[in-house]
Amino acid sequence: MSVNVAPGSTGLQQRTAVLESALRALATEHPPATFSSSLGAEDMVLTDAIVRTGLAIEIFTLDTGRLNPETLSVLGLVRKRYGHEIRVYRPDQAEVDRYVRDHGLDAIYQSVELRTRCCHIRKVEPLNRALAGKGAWITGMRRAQSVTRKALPLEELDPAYGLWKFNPLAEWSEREVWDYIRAFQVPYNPLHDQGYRSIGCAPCTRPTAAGEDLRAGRWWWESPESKECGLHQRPTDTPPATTAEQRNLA
Amino acid sequence: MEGSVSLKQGLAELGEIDQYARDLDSFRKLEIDAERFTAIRLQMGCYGQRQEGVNMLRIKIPGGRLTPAQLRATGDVLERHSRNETAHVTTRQDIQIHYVPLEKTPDAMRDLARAGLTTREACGNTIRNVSACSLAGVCPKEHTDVNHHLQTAVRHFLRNPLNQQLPRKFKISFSGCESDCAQGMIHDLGIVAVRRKDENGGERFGFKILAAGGLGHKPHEAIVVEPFIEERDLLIAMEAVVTLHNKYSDRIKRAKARIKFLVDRFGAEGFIERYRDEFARIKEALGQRELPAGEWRSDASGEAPGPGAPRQVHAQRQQGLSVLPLALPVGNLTAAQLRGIADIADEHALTDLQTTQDQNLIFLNVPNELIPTLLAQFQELGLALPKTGDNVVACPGTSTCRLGITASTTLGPRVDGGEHDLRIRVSGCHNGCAQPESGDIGIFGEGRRLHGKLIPHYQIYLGGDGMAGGAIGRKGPSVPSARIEQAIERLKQIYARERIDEESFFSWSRRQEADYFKELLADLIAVKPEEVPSVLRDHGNAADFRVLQLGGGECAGASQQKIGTLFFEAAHERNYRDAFKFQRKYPEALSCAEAGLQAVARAVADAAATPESEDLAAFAEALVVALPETRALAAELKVLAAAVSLEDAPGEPDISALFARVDAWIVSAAELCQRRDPTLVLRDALPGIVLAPRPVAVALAV
Repeated sequence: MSVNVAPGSTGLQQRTAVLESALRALATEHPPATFSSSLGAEDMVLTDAIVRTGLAIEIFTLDTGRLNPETLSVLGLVRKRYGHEIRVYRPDQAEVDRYVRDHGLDAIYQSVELRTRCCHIRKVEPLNRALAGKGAWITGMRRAQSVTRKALPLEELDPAYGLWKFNPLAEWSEREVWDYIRAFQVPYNPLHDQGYRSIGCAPCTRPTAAGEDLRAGRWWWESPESKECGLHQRPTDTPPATTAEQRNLA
Repeated sequence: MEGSVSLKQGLAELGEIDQYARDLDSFRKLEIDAERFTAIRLQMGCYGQRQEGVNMLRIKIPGGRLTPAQLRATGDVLERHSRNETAHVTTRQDIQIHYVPLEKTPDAMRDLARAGLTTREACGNTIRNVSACSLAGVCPKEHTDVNHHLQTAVRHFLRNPLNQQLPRKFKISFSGCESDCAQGMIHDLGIVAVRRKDENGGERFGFKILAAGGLGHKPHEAIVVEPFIEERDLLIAMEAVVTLHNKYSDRIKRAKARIKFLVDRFGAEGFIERYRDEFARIKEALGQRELPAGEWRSDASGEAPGPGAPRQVHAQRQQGLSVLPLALPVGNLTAAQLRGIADIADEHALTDLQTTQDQNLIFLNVPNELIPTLLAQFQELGLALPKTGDNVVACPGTSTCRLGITASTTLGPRVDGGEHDLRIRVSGCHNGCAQPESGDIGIFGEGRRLHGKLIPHYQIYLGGDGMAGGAIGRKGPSVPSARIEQAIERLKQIYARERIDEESFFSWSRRQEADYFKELLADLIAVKPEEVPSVLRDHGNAADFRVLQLGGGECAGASQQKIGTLFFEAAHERNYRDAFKFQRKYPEALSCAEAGLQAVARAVADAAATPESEDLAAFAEALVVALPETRALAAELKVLAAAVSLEDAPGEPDISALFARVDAWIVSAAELCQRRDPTLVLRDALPGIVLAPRPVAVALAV
């Protein structure tokens, strides 16, 4: 009997080394660095890499108040696996109350405008607070995730926030993300095992069918071009389409 | 409050008490021998006494902080499981319960565990209870509440493999400011919160690290190993000093095994150099993440209260709140008092209690307006504020301790510190549990043969002070026990008469000539032949003095056990190995795995009585020759030895698979050792059993 000491997937090792050196460089060059995690698969890769390297990068998430319990359970999984506490930002409750009073809890299905307004209150405004005073913003976005992210660069100066934004997984495939998760026993959102591939707020996310696009389950009643919440607006992005076919599921 | 949260979480673990109960059972059935059981018992904080069949349980109280519920539980255990009237607060801020019959010790431990209290690693060759300055968290002068760091450190080291079989015990103190009321100078490791100016004129907070101080045989003042380290590096520095002790201290000569002797051996510079090496390696392995920061204050002001409890009601930095000390005569409290204090605390919603290094009890966070009511209530329990003169500390001595030479606990209440409230420290032997070398007047019991008779004596130390700017007491003369009260009286009188202005006893005693005290007490020191009968007896004893030979105390722990030590070393390497693997530092992880295999191979060599070899493959071959039954074990060792010595470390998942095989091999090796020596207890050192809460970062998650 012999021990197999052949190196594992060298592709994975190389990607991991590149990722770690990218994180190290940005943490040194643009402090303080912060990482916005949606607690999805890509973000778990970044969480794992940040904790392992021990870099001074804050990890935070936005608890919109409408997340699935499974998604929130990831906070506990991370605590258990890494002994690390993910910082949680929450929306302004008064704003949320006003929106619900004026439009109802699930007005998101009525129009893209009302949906993005909800996104603004629950995600964008807390994000503004989370990014205030930061030098670098790290995201887990990938080019292959959607049409809106096809031209995603590895790093860019975010004009809206005036800070450097890094997408170190931009070039990774979905397969590569999952290879990493399996190789390093990274905890992940249990919804991924139920067919959810991209996960946001509960009312705006559903599982995807085989062969469907990765983000097909997000705001599935809207057209692909509008499927951003406003967190990641870039000058080159297509403006949100308002003429797209809408299915009223409310 | 952060401290209280940790207190509620507790340090106890019922599972290990069940295991202890099973071991006790095996011992009574003669399935394991007395020596092995003694080691198990000591690890669980249970000492033998002078009296056969009964034991002392030492409750570990980190920083002395405890809740009213915990005090009540202590009272309940005292009443339910002990034959003694009182529990005893020690200078290390533990509480001891004596006269617990051996068969009742598991239930006593369970009752304590339910209140979150543990006796684990309160005795034996471990890190003992960690002590703190008395006003941590409330002191106007502190930079930070060191309870935050202390509790983190306690959780890190408790049940940590590094701390299971040290060469000898290890004592740690924490102080919240440069005054160092917790007396780092007399500790194996002293942590002192400090402030310093940085280049830009701003201020930085961190810690000063003292090491290798100690009392007892050859008292030694600590040296400074780090004048300043950042807060995030504190646990790393602490682990580095403990590692030095574990690695280099003498495991053969018990009398030379404390860490202070390493300073003699290596010199201060050599000691610090080795510390730096350990620090670098540990920082590599564990230091990637930062300690959760404590709260630091830059508005510290006022006077430090000094060692032990404040001697009167003391204003806290928190407006309107005070510290209320209660004097305990030589640290003793009855069950009724323990419960009564808890009841009074509950009645007024007071939650923070603390035992102190001078064997008293203090209430923290007491609203000022409550004080008169509380004092009236305490009076009903026979308790009051400290009084001028009662600053007397005494260990149990010959009343219960196997090492005791004189009846310190009988003498203690008979002496006092007089009008200047001198600190009197009375130890029953030279081991220094009452910290005699840190008192204004400190004495320890010894026997001296004069005119053919063994006569009980007290060796006097003068002007000791373990705080910053202090020093270990000057050795004075030794006086027959029967005359020690006279000697103390005379010292107090002369001091009162000769002191200049407000001169402290410390300064006064230190400006005297070398022979001054010998001459001052000459008539008490000298024993004429006709005086022998008058000095033959020790306090409270109707019979002539004799020193019982009980085969040594258990203070030093059970004898060193090489095989067990090596398995714990391997467990410690395994922790580092996994920490490196986590950081994807595979070559470093691999070399830790190799070190672990080396340690266990040496243990196997010892068990199989084969020569050790650093060449694992050669050792494997020699092993099969000596013990043919080990063929499979030896073959696997050869394969693993080749795998862990490779230049190119494998990555995930292969390295995890390799380590799993290493761990499986270690378990098989342990089984072999246990077959060869059925009295070995290795289970706590084996893979799969999480002893320490893993690397620093994980340990710190609260």
